[in-house]
Amino acid sequence: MATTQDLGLTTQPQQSQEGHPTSMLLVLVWQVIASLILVAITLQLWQIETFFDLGVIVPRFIGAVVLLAAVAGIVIVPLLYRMQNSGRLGGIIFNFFGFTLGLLLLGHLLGLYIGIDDLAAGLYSNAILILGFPVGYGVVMIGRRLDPMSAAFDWIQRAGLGIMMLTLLILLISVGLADSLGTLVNGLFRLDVLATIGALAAFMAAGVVLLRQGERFGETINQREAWQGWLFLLPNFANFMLFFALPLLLSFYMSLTDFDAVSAANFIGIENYTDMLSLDFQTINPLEQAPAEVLRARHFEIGRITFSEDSALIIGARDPLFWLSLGNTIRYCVMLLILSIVPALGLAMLLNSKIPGMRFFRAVYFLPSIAAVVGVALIWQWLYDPVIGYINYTLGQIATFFGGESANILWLTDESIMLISAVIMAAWQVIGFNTVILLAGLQNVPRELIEAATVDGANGWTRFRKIIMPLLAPTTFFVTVTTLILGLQAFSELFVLFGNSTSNARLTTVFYLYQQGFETFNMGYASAIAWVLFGLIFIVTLIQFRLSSNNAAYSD
Amino acid sequence: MATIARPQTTTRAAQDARERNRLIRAWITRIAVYVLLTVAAFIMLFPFLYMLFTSLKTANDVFRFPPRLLPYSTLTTEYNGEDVPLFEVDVNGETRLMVIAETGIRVGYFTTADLINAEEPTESELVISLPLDEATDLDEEIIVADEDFDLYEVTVNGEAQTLLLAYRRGLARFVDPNDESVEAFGSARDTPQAEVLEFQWQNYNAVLTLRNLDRSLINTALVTVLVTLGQVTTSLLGGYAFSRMRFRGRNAVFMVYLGTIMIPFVVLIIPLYQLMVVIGWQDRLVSLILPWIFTAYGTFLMRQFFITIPRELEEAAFLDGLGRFGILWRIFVPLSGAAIATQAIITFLYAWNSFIWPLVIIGEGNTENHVITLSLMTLRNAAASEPNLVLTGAAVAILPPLVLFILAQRYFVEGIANTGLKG
Repeated sequence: MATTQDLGLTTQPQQSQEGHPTSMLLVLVWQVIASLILVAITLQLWQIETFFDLGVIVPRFIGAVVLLAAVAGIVIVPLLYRMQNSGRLGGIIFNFFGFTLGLLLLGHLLGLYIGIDDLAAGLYSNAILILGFPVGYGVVMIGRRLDPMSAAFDWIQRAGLGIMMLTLLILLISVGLADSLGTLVNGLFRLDVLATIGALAAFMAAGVVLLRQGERFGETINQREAWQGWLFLLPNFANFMLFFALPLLLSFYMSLTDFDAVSAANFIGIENYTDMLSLDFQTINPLEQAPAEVLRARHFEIGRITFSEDSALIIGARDPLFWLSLGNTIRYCVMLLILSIVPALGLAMLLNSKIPGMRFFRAVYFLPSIAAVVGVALIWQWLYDPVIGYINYTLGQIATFFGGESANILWLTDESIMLISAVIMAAWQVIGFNTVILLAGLQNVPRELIEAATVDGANGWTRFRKIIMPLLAPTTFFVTVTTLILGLQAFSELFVLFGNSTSNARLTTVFYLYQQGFETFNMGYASAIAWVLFGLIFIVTLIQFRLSSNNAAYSD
Repeated sequence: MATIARPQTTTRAAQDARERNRLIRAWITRIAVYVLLTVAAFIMLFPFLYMLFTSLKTANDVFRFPPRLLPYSTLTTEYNGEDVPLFEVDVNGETRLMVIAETGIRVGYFTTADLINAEEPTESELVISLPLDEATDLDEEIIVADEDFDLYEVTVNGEAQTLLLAYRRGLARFVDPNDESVEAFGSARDTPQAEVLEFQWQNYNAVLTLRNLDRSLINTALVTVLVTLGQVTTSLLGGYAFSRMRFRGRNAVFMVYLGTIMIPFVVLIIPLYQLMVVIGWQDRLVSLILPWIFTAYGTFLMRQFFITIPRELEEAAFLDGLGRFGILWRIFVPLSGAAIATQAIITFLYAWNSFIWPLVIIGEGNTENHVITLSLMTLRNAAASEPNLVLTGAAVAILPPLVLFILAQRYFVEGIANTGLKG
């Protein structure tokens, strides 16, 4: 590490002030042109009155970002002219970022992304050909098993690879490669496509020219690493900006509007949040007053604490459904924690005894967590069937054995049970995952400690409480937090399991968000719900971060 | 300690006995552990077994009570030109396969006043049972233990007797289709149908071709493969940059990435949906692919793995004139097989099982671009009366990841145990 640094420092900067080669001059011109184009785009964006009904703020925000890029493009010019390496670094990032975005745009203009649908359709009508891949892979595998010295070792593997290549080729041809290429070539002669290609070529050329000028700019190895680092990060970062950072900002902005996907959004400040969270506590005389008389306007009762016959504390909320969903979510999380961590801890303890077959059992317990929630919910829907389902049947058999009555629990329709049904299913799915992680934690508990305690006469329970529990605390805590975050986001389980039910008993916070966002299209309000949920998860994560860093200090 | 401190007077026999006790206790513990583990394994596996066996049943067989796991179908035969079910009827202590020749025959069960069980007439000891037409109603009643019973004149062994009617039933007449002279009476509902163990493999064909799950299977596979390839590629490049290159802004970007890991997807879902609408990717498969190529978590994992690779390996290659891409491709990638496999598997599962985003972005009507989870929802609603088909669909969705799990188990369990602890 040190040597590379030294190498970099010993390279003398060769500040040559003599004239620039033509290519550099062209790059400078291009920088100016590109920046002017960006300014033009900014001006265009500034004039858009409303951007998918979100008002002027979104196009102006994007415009500001573009303007920033334009300013960067201009600032680079004098730096480049004075042969400063910072200008070159900026130029490289500017041009390659432009190139990446341009490439994405070109794909869009040529219909490449939408073309994936046709690709899927083509694969569908030639599905049998896909078998060529596993066959080829199998041949390669057979080849690998052979004696590496034998002649067959090589050529069988090559044959396998050949089969896979041939499959790919035939597949591409039959999927309609020629047709797609034809449309692609036709598309090339559209004005917007040509312009984009021109810009792409310019970005690329400018970037490459700048890359090649390392020596003239007296680039050190550290400086070299800088642009290389950004280039490596580029695919990652571009995607992050487009599909993560941008939506994230939009989401926050939307949560401050009354956006409903149809009419233009109005900025309403934090009204969504105050509406959602607004509570009103009032005392009431239930004998004489109706809740509506004492509560603030547009608040509805969500609970009351009765002190005596004629006095009670009444709690009203502006959005009772939100509080209901929050309550459901919290109950769901608590039950999920209990039902998934206690059994997982037990199973991990059992598996930790170094018995033969441990791997098999561990794999079996892990199985449910890899299955699609939708599929799992469909299975459990029938297991929970009150008449023909196995769960009621088994409970009935057990009850009859002990002389009780057969069970008739309405798992999927009884509002007081629905949440428990979903939790049992979710716990079944997550136990294996938790077991694997707890087991890994247990295996880190030094065996000598436990043996020493055994020799000192500690029995199983004492060993568990005094040695294993404290040492396992960080792992248990990690599992608790991941399960909690999973529970806070519960949606699919309930959405699928209860099917066409309209009961509010299945309404978790994400479920409520889904209803608000995609059923009644209160997208601004739904965004606000999402941010409140994020706040909850943030708090949980923060607590984990604090506590686990304390724990780490303790165990070191 | 205790054993060592014991006085020397202990006899050898006592020591042996203690040793034996210890062994027995160890064995009992071990058996108990296995029993518990097996019970847990059964609970974990049962829903899958239920799914597999139900997917091989006929619809009628699913609705049978009490439930049973194995798929059976009823035996049928041709009788009077029609396909009719066969029943297992007891004739003189011998079980025969018979068909229903006639239904709704009213049969009376007769007994005497001494033999009658007034509280549970069906439990009474009977004298005879025969079609009510063959008995004569005397229009008289007799009261036994506060219950009324009708009196009939019945011929028993050629001799007329007055008996009371304990109870009556509507029965079916069963005949042997091969020999119609053999007949028996019994309740059509209580007589077991003749069944044979039969796997309805055609359910899979029905679900795949008739219900178009094959198309969504192809779509899901394509989406999953592309997302996995994309995520692994961006994570490799990003992880390398974060672990091996120093540049201004690196740590800031890394901290931002780390922060994004805890942002739940639902925060992004609405603006991402709007973004897709604006770009024109709504209802398109690309909306399931391109926004998913970036993963902060995967980049983080890859970086964590890369920093464990010794720098010396890289420096030698550097001096040999290998470029950055060369180093990543020739040195880092071959060394990180396990990490890449783990990440690929996590991504594969995530993409294959994802539900809420496809639900939002791919319209219900656009079945051409449905992925498997969406098709399952459609199937559930369309085939509500055919749980066997619904569970066949579930099996189609669940089996590919399961097969992958069995093939690459090592990376699944070990990888997740390790990454889980690091995260």
